[in-house]
Amino acid sequence: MRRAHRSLRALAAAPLCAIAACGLVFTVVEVDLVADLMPGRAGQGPSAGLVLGADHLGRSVGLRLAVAAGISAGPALLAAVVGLGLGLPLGAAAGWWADARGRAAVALTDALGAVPAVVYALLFALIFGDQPRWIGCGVGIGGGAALARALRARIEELRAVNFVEASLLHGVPAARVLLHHLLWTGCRRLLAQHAVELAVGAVLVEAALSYIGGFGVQEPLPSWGNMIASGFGQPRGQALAWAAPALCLLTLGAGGAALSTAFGQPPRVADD
Amino acid sequence: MSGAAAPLAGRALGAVVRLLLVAALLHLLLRMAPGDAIDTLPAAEAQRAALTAAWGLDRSLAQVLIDLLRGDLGESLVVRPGQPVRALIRDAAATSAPLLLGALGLSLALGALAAARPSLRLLLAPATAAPAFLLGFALISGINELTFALIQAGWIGPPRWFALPDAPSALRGALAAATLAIGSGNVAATSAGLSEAWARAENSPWAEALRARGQPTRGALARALIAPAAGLIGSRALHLIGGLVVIEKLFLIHGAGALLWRAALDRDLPLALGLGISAAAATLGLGLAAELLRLAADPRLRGAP
Repeated sequence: MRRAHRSLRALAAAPLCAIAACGLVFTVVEVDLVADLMPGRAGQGPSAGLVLGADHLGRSVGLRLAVAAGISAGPALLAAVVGLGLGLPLGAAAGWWADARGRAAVALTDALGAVPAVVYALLFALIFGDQPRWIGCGVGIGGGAALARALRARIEELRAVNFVEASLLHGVPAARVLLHHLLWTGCRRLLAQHAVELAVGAVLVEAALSYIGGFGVQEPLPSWGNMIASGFGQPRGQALAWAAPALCLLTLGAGGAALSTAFGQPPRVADD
Repeated sequence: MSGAAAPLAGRALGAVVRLLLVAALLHLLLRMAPGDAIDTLPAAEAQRAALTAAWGLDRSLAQVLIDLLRGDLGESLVVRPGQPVRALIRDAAATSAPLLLGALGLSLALGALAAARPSLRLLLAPATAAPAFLLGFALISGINELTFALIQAGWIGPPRWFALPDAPSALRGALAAATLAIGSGNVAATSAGLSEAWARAENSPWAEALRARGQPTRGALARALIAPAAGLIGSRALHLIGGLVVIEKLFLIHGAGALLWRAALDRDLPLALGLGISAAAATLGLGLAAELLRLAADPRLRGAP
């Protein structure tokens, strides 16, 4: 049973891991997207050389899928880092201190969390220029507030447990109690859950903005979103050009939701 | 209701403070932008000082907050030059509000149905896992392809709404609301929240007491769901408001989301700032309305901080 749960979790994590792997590979390996443009093979179906065929401009669908995943890895990582960097201190402060400092952290969290992530992403694009990394930052700020709220609730719940009071009375430094006992031992699954949600959210927002155009990743660079937009409407034989990225997004959404649910469930004694 | 007035007043005041905080944060953020609307005008460098003063680009943070409290959000500089941002947002919000409220109601109704019927939850699973834009794309393409096939077969004439989403119609609005409600995990989250609340209420001591006395429990359990459902409205509102940008662009609806997209693209700072503040006001306002419903439904919450 435990092995089945682990296998399911690994399966759910596969799309995110694939994005991370593509991100790593394409920071080392440079791909010449201009050389990939071969009008002579436009609309070609899957073959040994072109696993997913070519799109209407003769570009390899498989290669563009992988490059798009690599491009998405940056915003995904940034969203997780910004979200954790913002949500962790805010949530910890709001949950640990019951005085004015805690109330200030709650007010700041509520203020940051009142603006949707997509709105942050658009404002960041307006301010700093249209680059995918700013989408990651925007999603990170929006998601960081959600993390801070969840963390505050969890820390308040844990603070009521006897061992925290006992540790403090025995002279264990407050910082150690907060960092080790509360954040690491009590909240690491929650942190992992939100990190997954932030990373997946950034990829989905980037794909959505690239699909509607104007923001996100612009042609000729590939994104799963702009691949769907440019591939759809082409002759029926080239359906893979838009169906493959759509399937990737669906798999990522479902995998992310499953992984987040798995992290959100209370740990079973033998499994954590 | 008088018992709920004091905590509600406190929460309303808190929402206003938070809105001012949002406005301050967004204003400071937008000040970091390199360049401004004057850069987009040809040969405007000579009149920079005059234009800066005329367009209010040199307003201090305090002045911005005072203007906000007076309901003055400035004027649009690029999208509709010279028009008050407040009027532009009011018109766009009138278009977006039915879509948002429809999606909110639909997501609650479908979430409740899915919580009651696991088979429906399974049926909706692929749609709820899909990002909203992908679901909208699939709906638009699927309906257009099917209608086109029926027209070609001679079974129907071209409907008035054909082809989606170019022609404005009730179908387009309904599809947009459904996409916003179901996509990006909205129904899944609502259904999970309501299932959990139902299970908690069903296993509560008062439900057991009702069962032990042989009294019907369904009505009481349904009433017990009002407070958690109101809480879900508050938490899902943020996601639905954010989703408006993508859905309105996808379905060619000229609402607040599409206006924000245009303002960001054209670097119209006052309009973008006004829309950002309005998004926050809508989130906080819906949260406050949800809180009122929660306090009305569950008197035990009135003493909570």
